[in-house]
Amino acid sequence: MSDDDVSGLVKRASNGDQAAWDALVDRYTNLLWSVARGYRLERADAADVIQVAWLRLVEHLPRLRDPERVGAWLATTVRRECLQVIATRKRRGGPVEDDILTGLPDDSAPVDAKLLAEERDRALWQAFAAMPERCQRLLRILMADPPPSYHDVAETLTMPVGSIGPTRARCLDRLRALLDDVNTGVGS
Amino acid sequence: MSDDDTLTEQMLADDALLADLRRIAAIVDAPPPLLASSSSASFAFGRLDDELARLVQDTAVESVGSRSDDEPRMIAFAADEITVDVEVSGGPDARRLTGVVDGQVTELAVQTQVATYPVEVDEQGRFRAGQLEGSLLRLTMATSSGRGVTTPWVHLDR
Repeated sequence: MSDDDVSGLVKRASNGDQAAWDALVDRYTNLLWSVARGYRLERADAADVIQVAWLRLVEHLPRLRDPERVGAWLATTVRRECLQVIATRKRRGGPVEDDILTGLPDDSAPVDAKLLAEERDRALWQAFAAMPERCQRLLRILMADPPPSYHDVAETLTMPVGSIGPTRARCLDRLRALLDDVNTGVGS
Repeated sequence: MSDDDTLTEQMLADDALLADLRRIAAIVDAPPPLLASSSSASFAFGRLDDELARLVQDTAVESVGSRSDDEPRMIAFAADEITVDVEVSGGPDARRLTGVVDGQVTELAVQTQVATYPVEVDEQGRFRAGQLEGSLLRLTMATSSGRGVTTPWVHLDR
């Protein structure tokens, strides 16, 4: 979908077109989910912050400065809401993050294990969960379907756009190294 | 093999690895099915012609240690013709709100993502609402000059 298409959807939605709105929801839900889960919010909290982002977008539709950047606007809103959830948790002394590994299939979770039948997939996801948070966050966003532009990723994570490619490459190298560790561990 | 070939090969390998992660995430951590429908339903909350009030104070997001969870939360909004101060107290099961509006309004409603609560505003501009369901809240108003004013959503669980 081109920038023009996106900005056309925003314009139609500002004029009250629910179908255009739904097309935006369809396009960005997976990205927003990836952002929220990248901040390790639990699934319910992640769904919650995403709904807040859509509600805020409804408020801002007629005032959006760059309608073609609505994806970055939504993703940034989700990030801010995530940081607020985390800050509140900290203030209340509650658990700040759920263990992303709880979403992982292992021997104690037969249902999930069935979902990922392939040994390699299990090892890969386990290695992913063992990566530094910064890497997980970046890769998680890049994994979104459809993938966001580097421009949008940069804006969402407040990273220079030129650093996305090199950081992605380093994180994937790291992932390969961790995957080797996981595989070695499995063999021992 | 040239350096360029090595680089291209590396990029292809990276793309393939990322594609694997994307495929796995879709299996183990897909968005909940209801998320898209609730996001779609958000559109019905649009009041596109309203003035959007500014959030000028919220004791829940001010500095750490300034407020305990037992104290009521004070939230203030400002728009061109009106300001509104609200105090929210009680937990999720018995949440209540009292407020005062400065400026002339002909209608005022407290809204959550679950329900809308029209309220009476007395001569001093005071109003109240009880047993609010939902975790997000905003106020919608009509001013005596005929203008619609909506506050931003605030999250009550934070």
